[in-house]
Parts: sequence; C-alpha cells; structure tokens
Amino acid sequence: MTSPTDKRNSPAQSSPSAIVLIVDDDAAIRASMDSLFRSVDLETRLFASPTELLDSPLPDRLGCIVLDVRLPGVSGLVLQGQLTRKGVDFPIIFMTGHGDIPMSVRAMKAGAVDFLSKPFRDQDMLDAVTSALERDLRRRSEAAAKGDLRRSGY
Amino acid sequence: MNRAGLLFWSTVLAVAVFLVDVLTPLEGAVAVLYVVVVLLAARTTRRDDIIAAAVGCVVLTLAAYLLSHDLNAVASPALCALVSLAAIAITTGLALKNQAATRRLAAQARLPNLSHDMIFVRDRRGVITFWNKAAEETYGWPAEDAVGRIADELLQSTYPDQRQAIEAVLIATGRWEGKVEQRTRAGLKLTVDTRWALQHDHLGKPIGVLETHTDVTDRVAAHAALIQSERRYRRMFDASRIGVVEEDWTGIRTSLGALNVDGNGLGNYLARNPDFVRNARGLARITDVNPALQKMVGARSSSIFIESVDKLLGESDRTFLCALVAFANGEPFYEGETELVGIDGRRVPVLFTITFPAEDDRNVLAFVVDITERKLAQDTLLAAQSELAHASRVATLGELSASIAHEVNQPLAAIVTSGEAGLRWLDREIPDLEEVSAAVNRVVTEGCRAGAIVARIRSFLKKAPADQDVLAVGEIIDDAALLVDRELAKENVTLAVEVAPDLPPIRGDRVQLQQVLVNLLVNAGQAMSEQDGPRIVSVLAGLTEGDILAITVKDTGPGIAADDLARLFEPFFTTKQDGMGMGLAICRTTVESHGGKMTVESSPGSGAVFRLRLPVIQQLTLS
Repeated sequence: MTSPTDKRNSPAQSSPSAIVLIVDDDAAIRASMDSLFRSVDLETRLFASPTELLDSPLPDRLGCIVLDVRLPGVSGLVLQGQLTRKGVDFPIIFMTGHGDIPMSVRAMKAGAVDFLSKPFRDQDMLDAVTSALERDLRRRSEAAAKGDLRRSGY
Repeated sequence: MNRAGLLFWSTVLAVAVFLVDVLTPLEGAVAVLYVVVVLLAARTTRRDDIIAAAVGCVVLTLAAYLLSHDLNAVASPALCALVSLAAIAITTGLALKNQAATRRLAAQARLPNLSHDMIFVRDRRGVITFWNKAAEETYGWPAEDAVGRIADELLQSTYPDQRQAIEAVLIATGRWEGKVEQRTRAGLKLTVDTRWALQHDHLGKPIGVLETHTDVTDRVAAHAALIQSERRYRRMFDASRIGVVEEDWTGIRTSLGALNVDGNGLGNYLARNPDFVRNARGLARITDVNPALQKMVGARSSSIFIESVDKLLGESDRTFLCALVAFANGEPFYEGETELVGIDGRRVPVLFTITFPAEDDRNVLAFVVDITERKLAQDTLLAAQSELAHASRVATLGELSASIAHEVNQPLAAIVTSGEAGLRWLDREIPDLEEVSAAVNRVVTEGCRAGAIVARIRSFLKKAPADQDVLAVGEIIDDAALLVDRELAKENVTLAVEVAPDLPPIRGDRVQLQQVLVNLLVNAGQAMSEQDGPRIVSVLAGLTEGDILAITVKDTGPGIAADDLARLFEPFFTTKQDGMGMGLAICRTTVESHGGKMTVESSPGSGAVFRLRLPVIQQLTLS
C-alpha cells in the first residue's frame, strides 16, 4: 500500500494539458476518480455510459479514456470499436469488477493500453494513465509527421 | 336242448324202453337202451341228473325183470338183466367222470375273465375264438360280437414293425412283445403293451395265438408330456440369451437348518458372520450353466463352472446374503444386481432372479442378464450428472461470488480511490481541505453502501427456501442407500437397513435429508476403508418418545478421537486429507432446519454412531 507521504509521480508534470475521460455507471466511482485525477492536476470529463460518451463532441487533444468493461448497454469492448470507427483514437484503460483473463486478453488485443481490477491502487491507475498519455503523445507526433510529409508532396 | 328238455326226453325214453321190455317178448337186450337215457341226462352236465337217471334205469330194469319172470327163472333172462345193469353202471361211471372233467375245464376257462388285461385268442388266420371280460369292457365289443371277427380289422391295430416280421418272430420264438395302437368300438385310440404267445396242438403244430394287452395310454401320454416339457425347457435353456444357472442348494438347507436362527434375525446374523456366507457360497453347487451364461463369463464349456457359486460371484457380492435370507424364509424367488467374475477375471455386471422351487432344493435356477452395456451407459450418465451437478454448483458459486464481488467491489473501489485521492489532496503543497472532506464523505457513504450490500446478500442466502414435503423416512433411506450402493460396494462395506414398520411421515426437503444420509453413509464407508475387521454400516429408523423419529447410522470403523469429537460439526473442521470440513456442518444445519437434532457418539476402536432426531407430522384426528 502506498503511504501518503510517498513521493508521488504525477503525470500532470509531463502532460499539463491532458484530459482523462472517465466512463463508469457508478456515480461514486466517477466522483472518486475525478477527485484522484484532479489531485494530480489532470483535467477530467465524466460519462455515465458509453452512449453518453459517443453522443458527446470529443476534444482533439492529448488524452485517454478510463472505461468500466461491464457497463450496461454497450460493452466496453464494443465501445472501443465504435470509437475507432468514429476516428477517436484515445488510448483506453479498462477497469473491471472481476479480473477476467479472457476479457483482458481481448481488450489488450483490441488496443487497450492497460487493464485494472477494481479496487486498484491509485499509483497503478496513475501509472497506467501516464503511459497511455505518452502513447497518445507519440501517436499524435507520428500523425503530425505523416501530415507534414503529405503536405510537402511526398 | 335245455336241461328240462333233456330230462323230459330221457324220462320218455326210459318209460318207452320199460314198456317194450315188459310188454314184448324181446328178451333182455332192450334194457341195454337205458344207456342212452343216462347219456341224455349226462348232457345236462349235472351230477345229480346223471345219478337220478342211473338209479331210475336200474329200478326200471329190475322191475321189468320181476314183472316178466318170476324169481325162479334165472338163466338167460337174468343174465340179460345183469348185462343191462352193468352197462348202465359203466355208462354212469364214465358220464360222472366226464362231468367232473368238464367242470374243471369250465373253471379254468373262466380264469382269463378275472384278469384286468384284455385277453383274447385268435387262430392262425386271425379269427378271434376267445374274448375275455376286460376286453369286452375296454374295447367295447361283447364276446359274442368279437368272436369270429378278424382281430386286426376289429381293433384297427397299428404295429411298431412290419406285420410279417412280427409273425416271423412269433413263429420262430413262440412269443412276441411290443407297443401297439388300437381303437375301441367308440373310436378311442389306445396304446397297449402287447404280449403274444403261440399255442400248439399235441403234434406241435401252431393252432392259435393268445394275445394279452395292457392299456398304457395314460402312462404313455404322461411320459410324452414329460419328455416334451423337458425338451421345451432344454430348448429355452440352450437357446435363451438369458444366462441360466442350475444349482443344488441341498447343502445350504442343511447348513441353515443347523444355524437355528429365525428368519428375522438371519439377515443380521449373516451380516455379522461373513464366514458363514462365504461357506454357503461354496455349498451352492452348480449343476449346469447354459450357453448364454458361458458366453457371458467367457467359458468354452459348462464344465468349468460345475462346481459352486463361489467361483462365479465377485468378492464384493452382497446379494448372496439376501438370497440366503429369501431362501430361508421360503420366498419363491429373489431378484438383485451383482457382478459375476469371468474366466479372465473380468467383472460382468448382471441383473438376476434366483428361483427356489418349493421342496426341491436340487433345482434352484438363477436367470442372469448381462447389463454391462446398460451399466456403462448408466455410469456415463451418472458421471455426466455428477459433473453437471458439480459444474452447476461451481457455476452457481462462481456466479454468486462474481455478483457479490461486483456488488461489493464498486463501493470498495470508490472507497479506496476516494481515500487515496483525499490523501493526495492533503499532500499537496496547499492542502485542499474541501476536496479532502468530499473524499472522506464518499468513503463513509460507500462504506455504508458496502455494508448494506453484504447484509442483503446474507439475508438472501438465509431465505433460500427448503421444500416442505410430506416424506416417508423409509423411502429416503432407500434412496440414499441406492445412491451410495456402488461407493460402499467398492469399499467392501455391507449396508444393513432396518426400518420399523408403519412409521409416521415427516415434513421436509427430500433432497436435503437424502444428502445428510448420503454424507453419513459415505463417511462411514470411508472410515472403514482401511481396516481388516468387519465393514458394516447399519441404518436403523424407529420412533422414540412417541413423536420423534430416530435415525441411527452406525459403523464398525475405528471411531472418532475425543478431541475431534467435540469439533466434528464445526465448519472447516476435517480429518480427511482432501476434505473441506463442510459435510457434517451442513448436515447438522439441515437437520436443525428440519426442527431436529443431530448428535454423535463414539469411542475409539468401536465405531461411530450418528443419531438424527426428527419430529414426525402429528396425525390430525377429527375427534
């Protein structure tokens, strides 16, 4: 258990303008994660369901999604596919109430960057978010480089 | 001519001779004609008549002489009278002798009529000359109708051989014997034992045949029926696909008789004396086994098993004991399921019926059906069922734990995350107490939520309703016995069940109570699985204190150590290597939820006794 006096590694320092999109049907979970991410100076947006997320205009900026796999309506894995089709390429971190090996394998194959069982340690979640954001940053700079090349006529 | 006629004419003749003798001058010679009178009277074949006629003739002769001549004149006339008297005397003497001989012959001729056999005499051409009383009665023709007919035609005789050949034997040896079929006057077909004897005249020339016949129709029919029945049985025995074992239980009858244990106590006695049962198996002598059974056990001929049942039955067989009890109680048959041991040691599961014919211990028959395939299918089914039951139990548990995990995990996750977020807010350079307060509030709220969820699950589990059916304890015990049958057989454990008659019903959940008994029986079996001594589990059920049903499960195992005894019903307490320690805990809970009590007694070395006490349903009376 991480003691409160530990020197905390905050992802905020490395990506000050990043946003974390939290999708969970449990209000208490949403609120507590919102509080956790804000305590390390990450911006958050909260969604009660995958549909809500899909219906909302999403910002084109550095970010990631933290998603509960067992959500009513659309399952987390289906949502991931729908987001990809919609052109939203935020890396996704899955959460689940029960560590289900086949499900985590499928999630990882579908491009999830991490998979955490509830309840998780705050540091694990923050580490997962940090690496997701780094990945998003890399993806963005690669896309930008390709765009530059395309624009320069290659 | 009848007797009266004969007597009349002989009298007339006598008078005529007398008159001629007296009135005519024919000297003396006429009186000789009295001889004819005597001969006529002799025709009546009666001694009295002959003597009377003779006396009469003598008197008349003397009278005629005296009337014709005076006493002085002797000479010639007197001589004539004397000659006449001598002739009468000689004739009378001969007639009397002849009469005696005739009577003797007549008596002899009546003898055949006393016989029960049909006797007749025929001449060489086959014409009947004598026909006795029995022939009249049996064949239906009176003697006067039969005599003069051809015997073979009259009786439509059918011979076992050619008629000429038979005749040849008769001529050659003077005798013939055989079975002949004949028909009576009413058309009835008779089978007769026939004996012929050839009669010869004084020159040795054959003149006739004496035929003696004994009616054996019924005997032959009975014999034929017997043969047919035997053939039918043989055919069934040989061709049946059901295995048949013929056994002789005479030795067992003797052995049981020497025991002097009554029918009711025999089952218990045998359960406690496996040596007796083992010995009795050797006494059940096999006299024959049919081809189906030979095939079943892989034998080439019946001779391999012509010994005793001991070789045929498996070590773990427990049906023989029950068959012995049925036999001793005079029951006509016993049915059961057991295993036979093949020649190659292969075990063959079978269903059988063994029949005990009344008063013929030599003819005990066992009919055996091979149920290997059925058993395989059943085993597969049982395995599948138990797997399914296990899987569904696991699935239910898994689902339950998953849903519990999910339900409880949500607030737990919120609590953990809120707590850690709160610490982070506190940890900042300028602690944000408002955020900390919000986080702590969430911790408290979610803690309560988690508690509520746990309480809800607990009350849900508690309320799992048990069935409340009206149950017969005997059936529950029987079902449980059936369920553990194979398991106990595997461990060589004998199960003795004794349920008091007319037990009142109890109320409860059949499956749950069965599980309690199964659990206790399996435990008992396992407890005894490593010991050499007797392996007996007995289940007793009876009433106690009027309205409490007591079920006792008792084993002959090593017993339970005093330390263990106290903790036996505690959850997770087990003495088994791979035990969960839940069985007895659940058993006691089940019994208690049925309003009953469950206790255990044991002293190491003398087995364990589990007692269940369950309330019976009070009988409602309208009074």
